[in-house]
Amino acid sequence: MREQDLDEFLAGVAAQPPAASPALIDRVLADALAVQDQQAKARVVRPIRQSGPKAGFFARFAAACGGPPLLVGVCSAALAGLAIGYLDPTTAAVLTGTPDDIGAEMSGLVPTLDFLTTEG
Amino acid sequence: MAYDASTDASDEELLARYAKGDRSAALVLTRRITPRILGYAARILAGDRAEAEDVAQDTMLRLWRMAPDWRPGEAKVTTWAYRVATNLCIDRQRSRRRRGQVALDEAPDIADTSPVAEDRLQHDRRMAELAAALADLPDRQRQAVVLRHLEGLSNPEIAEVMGVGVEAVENLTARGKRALAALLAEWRDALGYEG
Repeated sequence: MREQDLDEFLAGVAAQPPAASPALIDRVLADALAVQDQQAKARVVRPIRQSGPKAGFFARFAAACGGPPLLVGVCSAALAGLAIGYLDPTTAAVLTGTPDDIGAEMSGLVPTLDFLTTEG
Repeated sequence: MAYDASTDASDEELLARYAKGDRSAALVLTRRITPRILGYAARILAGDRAEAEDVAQDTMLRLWRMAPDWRPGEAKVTTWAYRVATNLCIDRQRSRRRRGQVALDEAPDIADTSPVAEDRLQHDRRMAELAAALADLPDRQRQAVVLRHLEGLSNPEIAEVMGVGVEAVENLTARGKRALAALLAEWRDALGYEG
């Protein structure tokens, strides 16, 4: 077959487009509408992502640590640890309620543990 | 907003409207694209109408599912659909070969619009002969010839569908046409051509 004949032949076939059966069109359309409904439901359920400015480093760090309240707690504990480490023990004794200048009458009321370490 | 099948809206516009919930857009896209994919699949699958319908329906289903993620300007909807259909056809051909089945005995059962019975008979005979000849071509040559000469895609579009370069498409099309001409020459008299 000559090339020209082949071109004519192919053009003749291409000029008569195939027709999809009504049943196929119905099936495809039913799929389309079913998928559309599913996607509409998914859009309702899916939370809308905020498109605001990007959070800064400290904000992201705080979020990674569990949020601002948890970060405040961690910082407070750290400060308390530093204070206990650096403060004079006398001051600490005041804080714990056992001052050095406790009176003799009061010292008798404070139980000791000496009997546990004394022989005989 | 309702559309008829002849709306001027592009496939990409209609797909975007479909993704936003426009049901009329689904109807127009279905009527526009399904017949093209059906015809292509029928030719690639050597006229197996039932399998071609499955491929067309599956291709369209994938199109609906990816509609919300469609990125305008990256590809044409039809090119994307042909590519999906090509892959589905390849899967089915491999499956057939594994099962040892070769469906070459059926002419494409694609309705035509010829009003005259003789024309229809002639058309059916041509389609049968073309289907048989196409079936004898290597897969890649068959895809290239069908996309170029029956579906009317440009070489760059075919390259995108087939995932090859434009030069490779030109080679495949040229070799495919030569092979097709040789095969169809056997039926030249029956087709009524001279020379």
